[in-house]
Amino acid sequence: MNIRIALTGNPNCGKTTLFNALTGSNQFVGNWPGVTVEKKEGKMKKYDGISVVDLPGIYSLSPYTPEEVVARNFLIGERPDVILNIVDGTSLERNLYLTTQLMEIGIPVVIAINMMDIVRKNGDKIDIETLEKKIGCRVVEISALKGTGIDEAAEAAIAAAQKKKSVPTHSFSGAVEHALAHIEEAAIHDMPADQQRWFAVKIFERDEKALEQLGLSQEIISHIETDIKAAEAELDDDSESIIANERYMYITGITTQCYKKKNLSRQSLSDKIDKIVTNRFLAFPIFVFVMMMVYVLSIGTVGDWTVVFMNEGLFGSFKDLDPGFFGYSLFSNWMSVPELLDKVLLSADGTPVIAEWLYSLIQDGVVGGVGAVLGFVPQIFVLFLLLSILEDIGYMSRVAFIMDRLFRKFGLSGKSFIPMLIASGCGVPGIMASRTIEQERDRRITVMTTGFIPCSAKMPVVGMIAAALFGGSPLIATSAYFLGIGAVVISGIILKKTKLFAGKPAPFVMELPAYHAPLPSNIWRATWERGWSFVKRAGTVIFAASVIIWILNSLSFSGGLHYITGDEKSILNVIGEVIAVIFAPLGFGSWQAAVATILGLVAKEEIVGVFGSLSSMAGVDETNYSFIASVIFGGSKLSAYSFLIFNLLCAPCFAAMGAIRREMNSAKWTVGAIGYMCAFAYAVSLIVYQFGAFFTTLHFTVGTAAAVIVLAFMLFMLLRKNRYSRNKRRKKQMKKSTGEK
Amino acid sequence: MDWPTLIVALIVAVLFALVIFFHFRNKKKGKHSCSCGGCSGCAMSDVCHAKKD
Repeated sequence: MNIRIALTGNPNCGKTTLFNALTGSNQFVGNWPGVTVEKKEGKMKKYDGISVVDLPGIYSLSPYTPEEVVARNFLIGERPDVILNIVDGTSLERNLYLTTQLMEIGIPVVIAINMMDIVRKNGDKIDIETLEKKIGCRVVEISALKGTGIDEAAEAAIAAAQKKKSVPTHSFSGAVEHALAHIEEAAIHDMPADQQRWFAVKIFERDEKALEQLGLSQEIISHIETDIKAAEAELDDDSESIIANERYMYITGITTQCYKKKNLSRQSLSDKIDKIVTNRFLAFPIFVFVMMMVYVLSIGTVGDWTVVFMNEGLFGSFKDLDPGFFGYSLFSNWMSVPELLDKVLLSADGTPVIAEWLYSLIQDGVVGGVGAVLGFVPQIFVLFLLLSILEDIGYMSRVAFIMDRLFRKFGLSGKSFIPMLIASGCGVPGIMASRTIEQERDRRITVMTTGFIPCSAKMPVVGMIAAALFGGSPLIATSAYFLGIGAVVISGIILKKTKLFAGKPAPFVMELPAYHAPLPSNIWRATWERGWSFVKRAGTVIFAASVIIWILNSLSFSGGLHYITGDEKSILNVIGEVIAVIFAPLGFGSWQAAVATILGLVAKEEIVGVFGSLSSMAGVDETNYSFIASVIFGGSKLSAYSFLIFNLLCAPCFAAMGAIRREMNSAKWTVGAIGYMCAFAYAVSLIVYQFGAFFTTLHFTVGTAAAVIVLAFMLFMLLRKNRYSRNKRRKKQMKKSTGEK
Repeated sequence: MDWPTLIVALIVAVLFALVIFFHFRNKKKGKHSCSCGGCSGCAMSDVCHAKKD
């Protein structure tokens, strides 16, 4: 038995949740529409030879976006054995619109009404038996989130596939049916009978993609056009609207008989919450407060304890912990990682049993570098846990809606915020998610700016700077997040006023899902996968980079390549000093900061690894941030913050650069995007550092003058009139046509 | 070079070589070049693994 079941439905109706339940897969489930942009296939649990295909959410089979094209091409081109149409029970009428189209394809359809738990909670009733009779196919109730009715839905789909009997279609009005009959006869009579109906309707609608696929001759098209025009004249509307109206009339007829709403005027709890959360004036302050609380909890309260435990305990010495530290009595007898290694690597008299250089490589290079990064693991897990909860309950979808208002003002749509939401985990899938944006110009801006959002790899850098110079203040992390969003907004305004990116933003239609309690399995999956990935990278990429850093910082070129024993300059030191000249105007002209910035391109968390190794090699415990604060940044908070800004906004890691190259599909655009990010980061860091230095010392230097020029240029680019605004072009054209001067 | 140094140096060298080898091998396969938590859970994994399909 080889059966292929296609899961289709509107965006965010629970297809991926059902897919995971049916196949035991681990696909990412996001509580916002458009998470799935490609089809996914998996084998169904418990049944042999049955595969399930999760398709991107679609509202109809007239595709407008790339993911809608993926779904339609699969259904029409690959023809699965059965369609399991997931219908959101809370929005039955809108969801059935797609159902009426699926029924015309000639493939058996089973309807799974999802979110029945919410329907019942609202006191509403769906008469399943009547719906089955009226619509003509099997209907089952499910709750993908709670796992109820899933087996029944699967069995119904298998049974329908085995019968191979397609669903009877509804009839349109006489004039339309007359035209459809003519179309079937004139254009598609060679096609299998069960596929004719759908193509006839699409031809009637003048669907470009269907017409292109069929490749009809001009003669046939002209002949058909006469029939379509006759129907349009009789019904006094265009063909596409006629079909849409008649579908809705058919659906309304069904729902009035089988859907009973308990209270039509009653507002749901989600509506009540949204009145506050998406309020015109309160929405943004609430968003700022929520994100601040996320960082206070992850970087501050919970993170603070865990970082002391990890950095000063596990990778330092538990004995040296402050006796006032929570749990000190329990941990004070534990052995830290360096102490455990010392047990193996040191002899009884405290001298290494291996060569001095190898002992240094392990303890200073590897433990120093990797340990410095691993110290942030608990913070990362807490941060992901909180972000996953916000995503799962439905708050992040509201943020996309809130951001749409802001983004639209400078010419980008809220659709650009979805990649940015994903990028808070990792920039790579964030950049790739930009392909859901139809307009190429908007997509390019989104690709160029998504990297500004601090990803998980940048969080240790933020945490380290906050701990080293700002007493672990969570405000630094909050400012990093909003700095990223600010950079996106400013870049959007600047770029949209240039000829390359000008144009009207795409309409952003997004349904706000109802709030629901966070589902532990979703939260756990999202938190664990992202957090574990961070640990794996520390054990692989950071390990390898730490070894290289140690080698470069232990060898010297002067007088032939040799191991440094005295106060000589290492290879890394010499290279760093050359690069540091570039960053000196930004306030972090030390060779260590320069080297860390460059190595941050391998992986952003490597910045922490470099500082950890260098601290350890300088004889300072890597978990003691005094080396970073005093030697690398000279005790200057301003320098450290400027360093943070530059590293948050400059070119992303190599993996993200690869994603930019794939999405831009052009070397010129890739170089342009990365160049823009670096130039923007340099400009912002220069302005912050030079103005900060001026206001603290009141010395006007060459650097201050450069910052004034850069700021003036940025303000000019921000505030100048948009010459490419469509409204202005229209006004100009109108003036010309009316002869007005 | 004494035996303990040789053995520990070998262990470190092998670990380093394995990390580099698997990094490039996975990169060739389009796997794990990012930190999104493994390709199986990534919403965009088909973009990287299109050839497999």
